[in-house]
Amino acid sequence: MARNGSYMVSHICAVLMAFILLFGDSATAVADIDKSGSIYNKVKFLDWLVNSSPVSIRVKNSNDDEAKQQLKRAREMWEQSVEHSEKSEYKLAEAHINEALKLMTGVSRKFRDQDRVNQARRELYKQVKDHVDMFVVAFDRIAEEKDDDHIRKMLDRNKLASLISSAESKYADDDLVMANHLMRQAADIVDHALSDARHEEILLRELSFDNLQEEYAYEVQRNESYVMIIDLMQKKAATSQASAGYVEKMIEANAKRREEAEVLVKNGDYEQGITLLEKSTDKLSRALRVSGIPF
Amino acid sequence: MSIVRNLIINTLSAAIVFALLLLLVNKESHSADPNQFNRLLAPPSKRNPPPTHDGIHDGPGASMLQTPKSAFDTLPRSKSGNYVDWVKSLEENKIEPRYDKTDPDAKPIVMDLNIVHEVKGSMPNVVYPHKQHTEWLDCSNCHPDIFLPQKGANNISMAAILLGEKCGVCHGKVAFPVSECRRCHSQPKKKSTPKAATK
Repeated sequence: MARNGSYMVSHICAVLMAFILLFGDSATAVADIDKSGSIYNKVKFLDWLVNSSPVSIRVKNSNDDEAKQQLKRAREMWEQSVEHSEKSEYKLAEAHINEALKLMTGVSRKFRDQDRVNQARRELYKQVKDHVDMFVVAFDRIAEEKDDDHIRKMLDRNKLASLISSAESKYADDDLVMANHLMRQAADIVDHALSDARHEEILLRELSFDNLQEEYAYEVQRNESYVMIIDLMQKKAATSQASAGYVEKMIEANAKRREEAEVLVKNGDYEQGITLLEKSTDKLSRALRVSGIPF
Repeated sequence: MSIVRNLIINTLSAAIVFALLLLLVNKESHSADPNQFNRLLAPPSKRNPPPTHDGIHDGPGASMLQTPKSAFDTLPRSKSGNYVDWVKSLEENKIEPRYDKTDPDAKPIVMDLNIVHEVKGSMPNVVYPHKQHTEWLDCSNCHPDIFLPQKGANNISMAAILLGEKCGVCHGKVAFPVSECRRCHSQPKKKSTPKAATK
């Protein structure tokens, strides 16, 4: 019995060994292929970064010997990473890639395109300033609607005015980093005040129309939305073939009703035009349900 | 000989004009084609392609980026879009988005305000929760460029969303797509649909 048991154990061990040898190897091979693909991509990127990227060109044309030296070292690292990856020495290749990337990060920071950076900072400043202006107006409107002193006090206007004034002054002096920092602080003050003033509220945007023309335009847009959604579902989400015929018929019928509604409206009968479109849109909604969209 | 040469020149000119016209027509039709925007409605076999094939990233650095497949693997799942439940990911601290790129300790200004939009027809009303959005995004991501912070100032329609405007700036591209109707149309109607005052 004990002998039979040891035979069983040795058999299981043999099967396990075979399994590990077979699948263990293929798993390593797959990992190697993944690794080589990833290293190849990184080497390719580094090639561009050290040889033809805008920053490498700026360094090349500069008089900064230290930066030129760093770029040279990064290029050497890239060359070595190429050699290692060709020999399938992925760990070494990766170590050289990382070193080259660190060097290039330092060089990029030193040699950034200052005009572009400043332009982006000016755009950001303008964007945040617009945000502050608009949110102050929104806050004032809320405070007026609620007519509550407690709400009015939520916005520290003195602090806000002081921050905006300092930001504007820094902006005028071309200290764009500080200008943005101060304007961001101003924006945070307004955002906090608005957030507190609207805390846990539910606002209802009621659907109302000033006239029948407006309602008809809404119905046309709603109907068009359904047509677009159906088209989208058919093309992208691949609706079932069984429902495709039915959906197609609904689309054709809808097009006819849209034309009929247009005729009614041209003759001044907006009410009938709206009713016709409402019914037609309902049918499109049903068609969507049939095609598997949970409307 | 000159007749042949003229014929070739005329044919070539006609071909160039035709190609330019085609380009113009295509450009116009693309601008009104919802299929251009709603890339998150791709079938499961084409979901979350690597950065080099997603049609968004380009340049030599794209291949260095982590693939969505490996990045999303440990995140809570959803049943559509990029198949990640981002709200749940945030709630469960699976992701920690940086509120300010220069300050890792900056905290988001969360606005707990729901806006309910009434709609016509059988669809429930739309609930827009600021809270879930501001836990990740800054107010200035949406205001005032996409939405004016003022009642009645924004004409939001499904058609606009499908064309990549308004909510469609994110939904369908990086956030759940328009096929998830009930995630926005989530408030059952209590009263009959309002009609025009003149009716």
